[in-house]
Amino acid sequence: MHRKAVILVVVAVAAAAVGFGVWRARAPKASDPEALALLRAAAAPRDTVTLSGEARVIGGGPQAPQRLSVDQKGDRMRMADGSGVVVDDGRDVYRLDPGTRTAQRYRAADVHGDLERLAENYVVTSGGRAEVAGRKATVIVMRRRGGGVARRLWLDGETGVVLRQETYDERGRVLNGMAFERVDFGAEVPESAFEVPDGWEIVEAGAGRSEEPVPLDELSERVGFEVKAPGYVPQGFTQIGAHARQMGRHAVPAAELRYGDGRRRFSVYEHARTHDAGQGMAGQGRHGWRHGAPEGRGRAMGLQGGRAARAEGEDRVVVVVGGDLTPQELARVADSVK
Amino acid sequence: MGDLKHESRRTLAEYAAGALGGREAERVQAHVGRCAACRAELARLNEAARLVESAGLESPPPRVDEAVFAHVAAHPRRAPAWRGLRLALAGAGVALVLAVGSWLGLRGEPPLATSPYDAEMSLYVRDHAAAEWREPLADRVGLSAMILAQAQEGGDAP
Repeated sequence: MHRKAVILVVVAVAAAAVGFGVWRARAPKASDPEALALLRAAAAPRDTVTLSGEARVIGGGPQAPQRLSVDQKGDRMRMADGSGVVVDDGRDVYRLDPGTRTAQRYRAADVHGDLERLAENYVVTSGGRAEVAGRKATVIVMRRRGGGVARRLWLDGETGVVLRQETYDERGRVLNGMAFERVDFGAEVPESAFEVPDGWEIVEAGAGRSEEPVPLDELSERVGFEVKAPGYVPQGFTQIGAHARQMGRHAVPAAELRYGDGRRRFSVYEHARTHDAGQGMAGQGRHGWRHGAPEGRGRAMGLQGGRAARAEGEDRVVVVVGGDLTPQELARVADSVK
Repeated sequence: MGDLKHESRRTLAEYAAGALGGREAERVQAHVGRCAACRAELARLNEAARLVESAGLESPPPRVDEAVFAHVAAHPRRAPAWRGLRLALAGAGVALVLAVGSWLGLRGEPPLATSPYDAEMSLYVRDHAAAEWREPLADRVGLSAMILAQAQEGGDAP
């Protein structure tokens, strides 16, 4: 009895191994040039595209809007729901708050256009055809080299506009994404939709990113403390930016180091810890943090629709890492800044 | 009515591997979009592949394949007494897979932030979202939702 059971288990394990072998062997090893060409075309600027529609947001978090109205004219966009409006005027991004008649300005980073790096780190293939919002779309699949599917894009068959996209974590779960439920190409959208209304106050959320990347020693001089690069970054990532920033309404000096692997990006922010409650970014609730985790140890937190990890070093520098990594990776990167 | 029938594991595995093409991939994709069970199965397959990948397992040599099928061919029937044990083993295997899957699903994802540092973290998350904005193929709808949600959660003051 016992011997037969052992044989049965061995056979089952061997069959499972064969199954995995077949599964792995059938996974594409190289990118499909046609799929890559479609991806490059979709990533190119589209000055002539005008659209109006409604999109569903996937994985934005409990407080995130579930649906947004979307208007687009070339590279300008307007997304809105009941809680607010986000406008891209072609240069900067603003969050409009009708309650206070203020427009919070976010500085978009320079385009890195690292599709070449994407092709190095991911296998891009075609995933067939599908229909999205009543339009025919081509599905593009991005797979981690030696891993699972990282992202799927549904490109409009006529215009190449992304009609739907999903990003997956290492376990194949949908992290976030969007899908148009209704879209009207060529719709009339007034120019004022992409502008900050006259008379509104513009508040800086974070200045300085538009500057050219600066070396670490110069960056340290400009922010007033020694800026350190993380000792650990996940495989495939390289540094794509370094900026001296002024963050928040108090314009706190901060260093930002940006990293990317062609598809995902994350930012390492460093600023000096202050103890003036209400003035410094780390001044609030310091005891609560220490209660939650020992000082100097990276800790990841899931924020609404985003992820970040925070660590405090002995040299009174606060490190916050935000971006497209797992919580564990974010914490590991934060903890490696020493 | 056809959609009520679940996809086979083999079909889902081939879909996950990107091995299906054309209408077949489209059909499976449409079904997975509507069927929570198959969506969960697909996620498990992706996870299993990741675990195999992380364990560094290689495909067994062809002779193992041949030996397995030869063994199965040589033993087409099993004694009825084994049926219970087979079922028990299969049940235990399923339970193990479900338990591991549930554990993997529950761990790792941090709780939503309740730290007093929310405002600071939120500012940086929004800032990172803005940095993504002009990247090729950026999901600006999703980034907008993040900016709106972060603003509600963390306010504007760091």
